[in-house]
Amino acid sequence: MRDKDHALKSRGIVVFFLKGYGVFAGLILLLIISAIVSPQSFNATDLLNLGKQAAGLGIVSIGQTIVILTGGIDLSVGSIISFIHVFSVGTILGRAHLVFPVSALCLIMGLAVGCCNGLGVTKARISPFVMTLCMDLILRGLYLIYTKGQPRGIVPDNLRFIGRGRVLSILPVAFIIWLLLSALFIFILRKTTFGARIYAIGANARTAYLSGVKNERIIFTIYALSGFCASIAAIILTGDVGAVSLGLGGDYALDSIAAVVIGGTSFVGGIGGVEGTIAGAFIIKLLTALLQKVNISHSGRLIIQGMLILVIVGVYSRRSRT
Amino acid sequence: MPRAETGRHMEVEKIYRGKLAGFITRIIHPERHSASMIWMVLLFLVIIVVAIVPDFIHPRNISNVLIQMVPLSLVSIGQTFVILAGGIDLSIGPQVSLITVLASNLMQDTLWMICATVLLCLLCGIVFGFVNGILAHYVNIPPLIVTLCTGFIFQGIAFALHKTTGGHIPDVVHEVLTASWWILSVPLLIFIVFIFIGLWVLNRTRYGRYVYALGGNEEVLGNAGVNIGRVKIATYTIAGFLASITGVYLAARLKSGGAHYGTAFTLNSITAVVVGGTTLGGGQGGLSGTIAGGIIVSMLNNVLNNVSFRYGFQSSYYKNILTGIILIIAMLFYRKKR
Repeated sequence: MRDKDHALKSRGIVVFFLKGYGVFAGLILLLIISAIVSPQSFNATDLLNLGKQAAGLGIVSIGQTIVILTGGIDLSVGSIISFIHVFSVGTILGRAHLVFPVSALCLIMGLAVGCCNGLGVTKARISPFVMTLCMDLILRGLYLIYTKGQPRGIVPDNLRFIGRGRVLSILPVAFIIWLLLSALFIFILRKTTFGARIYAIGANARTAYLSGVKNERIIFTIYALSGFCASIAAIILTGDVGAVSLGLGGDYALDSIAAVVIGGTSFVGGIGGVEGTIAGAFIIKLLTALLQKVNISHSGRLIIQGMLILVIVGVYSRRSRT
Repeated sequence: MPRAETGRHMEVEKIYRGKLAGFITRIIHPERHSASMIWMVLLFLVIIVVAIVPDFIHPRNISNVLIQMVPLSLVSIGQTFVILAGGIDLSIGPQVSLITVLASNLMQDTLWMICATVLLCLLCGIVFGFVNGILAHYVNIPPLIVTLCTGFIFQGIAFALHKTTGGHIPDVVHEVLTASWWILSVPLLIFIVFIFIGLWVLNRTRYGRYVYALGGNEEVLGNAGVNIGRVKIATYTIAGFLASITGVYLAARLKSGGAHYGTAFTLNSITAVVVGGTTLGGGQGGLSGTIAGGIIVSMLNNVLNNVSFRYGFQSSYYKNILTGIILIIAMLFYRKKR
């Protein structure tokens, strides 16, 4: 008995980490490390810059969070970003007056791709990762055909403003959009019946169904939202990068999953939320910046991120077992 | 050991015993209609392809198709084991890439070094698979996440070792592993050996039954007193081993190693397995379907190459779309049987 009490006490810190607050502690720890590594770049401007850089990833990860909350996964976000990026730059071709209509069209396209994923998962009952992996492949083929391997186009200034601009020359626009979207989705998840149903499906789909939740409709909506978030991120990233490249979305499938998992959302579904994901996205970007500072290349990042996800999911799965 | 399954197995054998049809039916999996059906689909496809592209039937092209099929089919054998047992292996492609990089970096012209490198590569494949299995079973992480992450780790290591394609493979290795006579070739022979071992293990041994049972119902198998962990880890190890053989062969064929050589194998192997009638989630399907699935996938790639060469467009762009669409169609087709 006494041993058990002792064990519980020593587990206090672990429980703290497991309850999902640990991610913020991790973020602070990482900030401290980066302040030690390069003290000259640790100031308000650079931190806001980090917020701007993390905005694209953060927005993709919002969609990924709600998908993973229902027990699914969306591997197609990377290709959605690349596709929309290439398409928007290729159609706008530097003409400023086209930015608004093309962006609207891009958002609709992202939504449509998400709807396809949703249809495949609900109506055709294809398992989420196969469906989204296929969608990933198909989109990759499509944007290669569209660009013939050589993307072209110029990003006009007003599109650049979405990605790079600053309100009152302090707050990055992208960062504001990210925070607003996050707030919206936190509200949806915590305060609306729709959000409650998402958690219910993730916790136990059968029970949710028997309690009168229309599972298929909600899962469909969720994949559509994920596609939509990815397309918003694509437009912001296009503005931020300011040039056209085929590899823009390449890392975002893994990065967004990593951000979600680090943020404390469980792969089993039904546990977690967008709050943690915000910190998760910050951590990923901070880690990337840190690795660049100490000169570890792309390959090192792949290895470290893969291990990070494994360790975190491993720790979480221990909890679900005991 | 699920008794009903065994009973059905015996009955099927009794009916067909002693007949040639029985032999063929047993090779084409005894308990499934879909396996024989996928062979019919393959036959049908071949007829259509020959009608569209008459060059396809030329012995040299047939030999080419058979050789091109080998890497994918070898990898798919391993993937079949994993998927039948209820898992999935997304790290197969990066494993193959990493093995090609290792092989091409370490191999030197002396016989001793060649043997040592090949052995080391095979050992690495086994270790990779073993790690996947340990993580999936003992650490209790969903196999999808385990193999996705280890896949990225392997890919990262491969990138770190090799920015572009390169390395050195002795001519002897290249010539031995790519030698061919008319339709027969060394890779094809290797493949035939492995396919027979695979069929024997899956359909004739106790371990094969356990693999099916593990995919069918893990808890029941555990309650029946079988060491689930051992069965599960073995499936991933088999997949890793076959991936390493594929890696060595690819490195020898292309006389180099590259961090992207295996990328397509991950999804193509899943496609081959699913097209072959093995359901994701496990317990149903078989190896013979996978062979047909592998042939279909690589044949369609070959046809796409032929057609694109004739009409002058870039086939690699369309390959992605083709694979995606085939996989979706196959999933749609088999979903009712779940």
